[in-house]
Amino acid sequence: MIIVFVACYGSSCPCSDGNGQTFYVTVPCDGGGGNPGDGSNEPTNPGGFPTDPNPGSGGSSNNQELNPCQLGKKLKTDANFRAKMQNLKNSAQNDNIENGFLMSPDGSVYTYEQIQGLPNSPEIPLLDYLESGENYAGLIHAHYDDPEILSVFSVGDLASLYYMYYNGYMTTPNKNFVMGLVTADETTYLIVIDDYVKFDNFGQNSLSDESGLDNLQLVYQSFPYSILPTSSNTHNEHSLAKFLKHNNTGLKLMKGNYLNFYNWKTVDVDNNGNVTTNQCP
Amino acid sequence: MKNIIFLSALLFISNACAQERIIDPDKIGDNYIPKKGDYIINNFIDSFVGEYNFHQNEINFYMKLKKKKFCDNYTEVCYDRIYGQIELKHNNNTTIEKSEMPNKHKVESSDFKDIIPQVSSILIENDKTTLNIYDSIKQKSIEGILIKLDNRKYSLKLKEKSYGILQKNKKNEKGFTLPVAMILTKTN
Repeated sequence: MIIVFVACYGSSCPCSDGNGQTFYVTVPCDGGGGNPGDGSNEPTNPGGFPTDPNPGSGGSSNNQELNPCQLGKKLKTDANFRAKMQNLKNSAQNDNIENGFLMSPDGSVYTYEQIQGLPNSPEIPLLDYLESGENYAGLIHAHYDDPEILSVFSVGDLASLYYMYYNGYMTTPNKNFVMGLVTADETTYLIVIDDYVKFDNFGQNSLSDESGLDNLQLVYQSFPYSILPTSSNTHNEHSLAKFLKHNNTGLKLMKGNYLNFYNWKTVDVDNNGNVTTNQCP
Repeated sequence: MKNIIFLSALLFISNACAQERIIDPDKIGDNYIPKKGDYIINNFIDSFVGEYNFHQNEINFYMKLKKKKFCDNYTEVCYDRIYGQIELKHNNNTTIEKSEMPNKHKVESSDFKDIIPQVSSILIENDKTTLNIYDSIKQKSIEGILIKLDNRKYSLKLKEKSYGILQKNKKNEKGFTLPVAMILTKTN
């Protein structure tokens, strides 16, 4: 039996972890918001911007550690978050500039600071925006339409995640930090930290200096991953999920609904290398 | 006693041999999962190995590319990779000097913790390879696309390297010390 602490939306209950194992959820109630939903409720207008069937703040206190599915559930009920992702989607489809937002905690919601690169340059000068002593809860950005830009996170994106982690720019617990992406290729993803020890080791080896990034670029782009702008969305998605697992990155990939950013699913890899996208329980 | 030593040596040799698995992308299935000790070869690399020259007006450019076995210390998976040197002269005055590179065939990520190789590949395809080239004058890495043409000619085009959202700052100096586009002749 595994005891898992989750956000407050009911009393303890036996649950399945998806692999047939039963675990119990212990729910510390702190008077938070409403029911964040169970993942099975569809938005009331799935083609457009959804009206949340279970509105609420997500119900978690700021320092409650969330697993990837819990974080996904929290974000799907956050109308402001979905609006910012929609904003980035519009930017990805119409601009030739990389836009993004730094997310700061503000009670049970977030405030957003816009960050931006230069025209026709697939970069954002993140270090210019990070303020000393500030802790951020997330970083979301867009990849605009360009034949040299990926449909998934780039090596540089992973490096920025590690930079914020290593230099103390993340709110604690770090597992609640969310890195989001919307692309002109009609894809949207989150990456979250699933294992601190692995992410720390991976980052020190591969994300902490220029040589490490160059080495990682080789692995990213070469067989068997071939994560390239010329590869299909599905190939890049599956390869990124495999890359994250096989390279012991400690990171977890989640895939969102491009229409409305309402639902986040985990992209999982089994021991035989098969990739599946799974609804959170 | 001799038997024990012999058996130990045999066990050591068989373990050492068993640790490396050579992976040919053309012969292995799509569900291949890299494992510790794997050596992923590249069947296109040999056509890019060699020495290249470019001469135009007062500019002389030289590049030497070698095939090496690069091993990542974290995953302990190895890859075929190109490493190289460049030299740039203006009117016979050296602007960019050739830098040293490890003599050994097998290099590891730890070999480059404190130094940036002058040239290293990040993608090798059939008729094209993408190189990181370090511009020691501008003190930054740039991206070079080397494309195989006819008659031992190769096109090398340079462009700014993207760091995604980790662009160091807005004031990054643009441009390169090297010519933006060259048609190189492979001499060796």
